[in-house]
Amino acid sequence: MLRERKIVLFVMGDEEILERSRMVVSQLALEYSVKIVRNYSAAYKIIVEHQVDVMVCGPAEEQFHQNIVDAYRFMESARRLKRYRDTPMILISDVEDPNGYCDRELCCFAVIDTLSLEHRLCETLVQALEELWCTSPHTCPMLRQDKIEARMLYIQNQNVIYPIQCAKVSHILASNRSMEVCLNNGGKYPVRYVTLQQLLEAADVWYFLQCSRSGIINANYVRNIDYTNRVITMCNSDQIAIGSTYVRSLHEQFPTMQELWQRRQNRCMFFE
Amino acid sequence: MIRYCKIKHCIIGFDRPKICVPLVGRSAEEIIAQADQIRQSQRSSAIDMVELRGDYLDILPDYEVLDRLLAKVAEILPEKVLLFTIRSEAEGGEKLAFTTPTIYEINRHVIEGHLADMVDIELFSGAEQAEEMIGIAKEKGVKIIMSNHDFQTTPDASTIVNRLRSMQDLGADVAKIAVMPENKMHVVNLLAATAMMQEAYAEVPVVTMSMGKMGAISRISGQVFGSAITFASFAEASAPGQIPVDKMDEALTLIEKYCN
Repeated sequence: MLRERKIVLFVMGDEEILERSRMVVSQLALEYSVKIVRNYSAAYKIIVEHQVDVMVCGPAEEQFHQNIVDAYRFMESARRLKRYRDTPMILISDVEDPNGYCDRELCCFAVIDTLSLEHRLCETLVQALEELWCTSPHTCPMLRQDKIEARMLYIQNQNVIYPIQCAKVSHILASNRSMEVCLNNGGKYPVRYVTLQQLLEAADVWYFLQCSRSGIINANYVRNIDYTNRVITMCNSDQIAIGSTYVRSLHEQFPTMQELWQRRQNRCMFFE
Repeated sequence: MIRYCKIKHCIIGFDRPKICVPLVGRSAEEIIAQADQIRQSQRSSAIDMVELRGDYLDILPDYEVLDRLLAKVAEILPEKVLLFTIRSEAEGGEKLAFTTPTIYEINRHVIEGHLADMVDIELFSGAEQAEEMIGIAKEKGVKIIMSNHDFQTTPDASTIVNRLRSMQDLGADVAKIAVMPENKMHVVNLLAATAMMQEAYAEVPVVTMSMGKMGAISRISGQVFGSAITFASFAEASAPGQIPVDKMDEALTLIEKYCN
């Protein structure tokens, strides 16, 4: 199993609102895991059992538009859970809020009234998701402190999840329809039904470099690169072939000693 | 990072898993007889906690009798941690024959009167109620064990971890989950989730178990994977797969000696 897709939760009991949001939901579903529920008890179960990244809360099933008490209660409950303290929550409501309860107490990302739903929902969701990726320290992939999700790969094999630290992976090789994640200590984990690209995206670390159509190496564990024979020797003595189209990009990452010397010389000349 | 919960002389989360024995009976007399048996038993020293299962009791709605029963059990077993649990029918408990008082009201009464050292609250009883109850419990010095039971199946590891995290976030002193395995991989899943929780998120002691015979291994391997309490049977088991207390003590000693 790879890092889970970001989850967007929609609580929409009202048919009309759901219908009007359908376009946004279907677009969102291409990139994110979208969950739609009709009432807040189901929504609560989801937030307890998953790590939801954005919540969109509208009127619950069998309720008037004006009755938003359940949504308020749900959002309060969510905010009580530490991991949802900074999660963007978008409220769809026609109810006036003169005291700014949604802003102050619930810390809503935005409140959208039903009249402007089509115009604002898409835009607000994009903003929320952008913020999620770039500014929030809890969710930004580069800044994330979270030990499990930051630099770990979950590999599922026959229903068992193996958490693997990316830093310990030496290289990953694909053959036929399966892949093998090789650790620096010699351990090997077979993985199926994922592509190298998906794995690279899931790992999201700078030191994973693709060296051929079927291989990824960990730059930290490279002992030697032989550009003539197009072979990389890893610290654990494993040898991995370099694909002809990847020689150039690898060359940029790992210049030879001669080139290093040349670059240093150039730099000195430049400063002189 | 606090991972211990100290009650009386028992430090949950420290050292080997604490053994908890259920007191299951319909009447107050049955419960008292079981408590007496525990006190007189040779294995009494191995037992750290007793769990009084309120949902089995016929006298549950009668506060006066309940108060007296809890006080009596605490008197008979003064050194054991007394855990009071009313398991709802949805989570595998006995069906209650009355509608009022509610589980919430009885638990609140027990907490307010400090009639037990620990009270079990279910995760899905609602965040609002749970938070209120935890607030009162903290005032009164009662510890809260928040629990979730799945008697049908075992959810995936991330769901288990998220449920435990939610309990912790709501302010529980101990987070507990019990699941039913359908195959061996489900047991491994639970153990992986326990280790994951322990390694990455746990700020309170975590209690996990896989029920049934298949999951019995999870009851004895707590020290290895990070489960702080294990439930063993004394006279009668309250859940499938509970190991008798004497065997459990032996197994935990073995694990402590050779696997840690």
